[in-house]
Amino acid sequence: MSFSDLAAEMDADLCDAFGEPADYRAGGIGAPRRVLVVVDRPTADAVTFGVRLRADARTLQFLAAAIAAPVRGDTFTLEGSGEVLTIAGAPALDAAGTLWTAEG
Amino acid sequence: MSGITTLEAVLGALEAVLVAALPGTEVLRNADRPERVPAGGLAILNDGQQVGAEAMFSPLSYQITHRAELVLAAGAEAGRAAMLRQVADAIAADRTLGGLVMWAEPQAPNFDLGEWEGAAAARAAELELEVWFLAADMVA
Repeated sequence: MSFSDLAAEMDADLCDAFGEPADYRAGGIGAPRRVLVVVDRPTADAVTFGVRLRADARTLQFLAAAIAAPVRGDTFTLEGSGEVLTIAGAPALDAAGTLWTAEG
Repeated sequence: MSGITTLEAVLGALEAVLVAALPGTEVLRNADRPERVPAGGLAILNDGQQVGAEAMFSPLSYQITHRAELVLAAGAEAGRAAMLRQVADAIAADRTLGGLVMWAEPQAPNFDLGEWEGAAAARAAELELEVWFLAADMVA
C-alpha cells in the first residue's frame, strides 16, 4: 500500500467516523447531493493592535472523492439540524489529494 | 483633584465620553482578557503614554501632552467607520472634557484585520486620543 493509498483510507475513515450527513449544493443552488462533512467548531483568538479578540471559528472537511472542486459559496445543509454552512474563502486540498479543508 | 492623578481623571472622562458616544458598543478600559466583538462593536481604551511635558513657571506647573490609545473593532467596515465618526464627533463637541483638559483631539486612525482561521475577520482600527492639560508635576 502506498502512502497516498494509506492517506486516502485514513481520510475516508475520518469522514465515516466523524462526518455528518449533509446535502451539498454547488453555489448554494441546484440539486442536493448527500455527502459526509466533518464540522469542527473551535474557539479562536486573534491579536490586533495588542488586543486579544475571541471568536467561534468553523472548519469543514470532506473527501475529494465526494466533491472534486469545491469553491466559495458552495453550501452544506446538515441533515440533523438543518443548519446551512457556506464555504468561505478558498478550500485547501491536503498533500495526498484526498481531503478538502474549508472555512465555513 | 485629590486622591488620584489628573491623568487618571482625564482618562476616566475619556471613557465616559466613549460610553456616551457609542451606545450599543461594549466599551472597556485596558482589556487584559480575550474579548468577543459584539454586534454593536467593541471599543477598548488603553492608557497610552505621555509624549510631552513643558515646564511653566510662577507657579511651577507642566503642560502635559498625553496620548491614550483607542482600539475599535466591528464586524464590518461600515460599523467601524460609524464608531470612528461617533468618537470624533463626541470629542469635537467638548474639547475640554468638561473643563478637565485644555484640548482633546483624535489622531488619524490605523486599520487592521483581526484574523482568525475559520471565521470572518474583525475590522479593527486604532487611533490615539491626544489630550493637553496642566499638572503640578510630571507624574500628572
